[in-house]
Amino acid sequence: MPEKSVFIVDDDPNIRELLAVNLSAAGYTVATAADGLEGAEKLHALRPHCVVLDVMMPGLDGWELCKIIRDDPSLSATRILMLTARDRERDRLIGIDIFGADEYMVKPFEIDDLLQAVRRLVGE
Amino acid sequence: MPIAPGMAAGGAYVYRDIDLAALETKKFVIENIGAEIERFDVAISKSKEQLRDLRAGREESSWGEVEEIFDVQLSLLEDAEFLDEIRELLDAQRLNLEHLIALKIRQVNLEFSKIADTILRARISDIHDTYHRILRNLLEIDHVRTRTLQRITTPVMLVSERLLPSDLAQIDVTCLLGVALDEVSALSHVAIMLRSLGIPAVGNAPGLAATIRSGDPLLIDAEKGLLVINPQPADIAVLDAFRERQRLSLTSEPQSGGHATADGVPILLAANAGSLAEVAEAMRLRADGIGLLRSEMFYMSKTALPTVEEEERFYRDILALLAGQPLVVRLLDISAEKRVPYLLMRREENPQLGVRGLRYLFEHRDLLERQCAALAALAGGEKPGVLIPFVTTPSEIGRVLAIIEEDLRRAGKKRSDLQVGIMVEIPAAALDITPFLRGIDFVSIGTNDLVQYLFAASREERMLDRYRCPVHPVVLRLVGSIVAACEKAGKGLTVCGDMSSDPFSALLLVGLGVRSLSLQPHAISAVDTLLRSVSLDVLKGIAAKALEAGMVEEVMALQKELRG
Repeated sequence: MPEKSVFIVDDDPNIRELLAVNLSAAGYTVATAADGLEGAEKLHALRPHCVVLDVMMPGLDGWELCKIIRDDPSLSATRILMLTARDRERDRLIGIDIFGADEYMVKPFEIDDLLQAVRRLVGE
Repeated sequence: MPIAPGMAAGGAYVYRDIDLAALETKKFVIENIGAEIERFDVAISKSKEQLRDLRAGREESSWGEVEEIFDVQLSLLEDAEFLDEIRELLDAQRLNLEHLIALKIRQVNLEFSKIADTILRARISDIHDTYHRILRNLLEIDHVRTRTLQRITTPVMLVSERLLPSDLAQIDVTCLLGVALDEVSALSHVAIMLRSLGIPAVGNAPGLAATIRSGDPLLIDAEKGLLVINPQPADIAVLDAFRERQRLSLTSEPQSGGHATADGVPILLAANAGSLAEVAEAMRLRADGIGLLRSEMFYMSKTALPTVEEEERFYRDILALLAGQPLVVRLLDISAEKRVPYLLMRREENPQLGVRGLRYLFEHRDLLERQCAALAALAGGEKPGVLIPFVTTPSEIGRVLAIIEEDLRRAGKKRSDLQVGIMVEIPAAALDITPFLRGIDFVSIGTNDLVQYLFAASREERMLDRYRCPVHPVVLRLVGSIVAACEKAGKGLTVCGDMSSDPFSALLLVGLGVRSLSLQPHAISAVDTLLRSVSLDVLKGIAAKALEAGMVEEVMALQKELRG
């Protein structure tokens, strides 16, 4: 079975690195983008199993990218995990109930929790 | 269903609006009410700022009164009653604002869905637009929506569940080859805007946006109301032929009204309208002037009572567009369910049988006097017509005529400078019209209301649709008797209402002796086409058979004869 792919879109280089190292070590194929625009450009070529998506990014933010993914039927199988640093309940409402993300986590997070969340969404 | 005429082909761009439905069910408790109120205030001022920007951007455009839509939306955001109601709800329930406002929207929808007037119902989307804007600003996600629309930078066929005036204001319209919508009324602001922009559009096909994928090749034939997914060479050939016809028509003389039967009997096909944009649209569609200008639509587009001068100016602007074609203005026809925000209305158990039209004007004589003064000022040159709505007894007409005559005298004009008519929509008037004809110049039969009252079947109840049948022999015999009475008394007669907009019913009316119809602008072409195909004698023959029919099914069977 081919490896599951995870696409990390976050403008914080430290978080990108932390996630990339740990997700690779857990056996996932990892790709990254430094902001929403780069994320949108790479999406179709990558067609990842899961996108880990930061909300607050310059240019094109996580909500917009989440909507772009959900509006695109060719990406209907892609699971979305939102990373947010804001009001928990309201962001959950926006991310999951309005834009159709599958999961959300609040920054700062434990890396083990994030790995578990990715596993829940796409498997090992 | 055709929304805006023309044909176009290209790749689809499916636009999905942000779905806020979840807000109705998702709620959470708010601890810090002060902070929540602050969020509300910020969202309201942001919404106002956006609307002011939209309005400023549109002032230069050719979309007529579209900026007034944004004015009405701004006035909603300044409505202290609405704002306080939300604050009080928050205080009492301590739940998140998004949830409370979503419930409020549901309540407004419910109230609007009960409204019989199709034009008013079509305007619900403008109110939606405002409330959804507040919600998006509360959630700080408005940019997601505007940017989704602004990303349309190459020519596309736009497909969506619905579209709002503020959406069109965000899009680079030169990129819109054609538009297909799940939900749209031909009378909505968006439909009018699309027509004035010359963008072919079709609508009212639920599930469209869910079926089509971005990039799918599409062809819109708005002449036939068709949307073709993956058009074949034969479809493209039809499009090419259409483009060729268009090219030829650009180099030939524009056609004037000149509507007539196959044997050349002229029939006046005027239009119903409520705004400058609709009048312009009607003229483009070859209307013989405006047979029913709903003045309440002008009042509704305002945030405060217009002055007599403003109202007069509005009519003058319309007369300028009409360039000599006739104009008939109906005095305010409002009721407890068809409200103007700044006018007082009392609640009524049954507004359709309550204080509406002339009854309301008698209770608010200042309004009646203001309207008569504005119309008297126009009298003379173009000889506009004034139509008195909801007349129940002949004596009521005398009271209005006294006001009109006084205004005309004051303006130094004669009674004959202004045509005065009455709406015939209450059975008491329709069944014995002759006493009503004294002192007036013409009558206009409002078939929608007349039929509702004749069959005791409310226009608000979709379940009762089957009872409200305008081509029922009872209605036709009644119309026939009014035609005869008007002919005998030498009075003009027009039929407005949906009956005039349906080609078969319209031609039955011509067969009954009606020579003037006022219809929805987009129906003119279809009525004209059928009219040209048949002679008056044939129509008279069909009408005679219809008058003798016992059941409505017999009348409907006559359609075959007409369509040959």
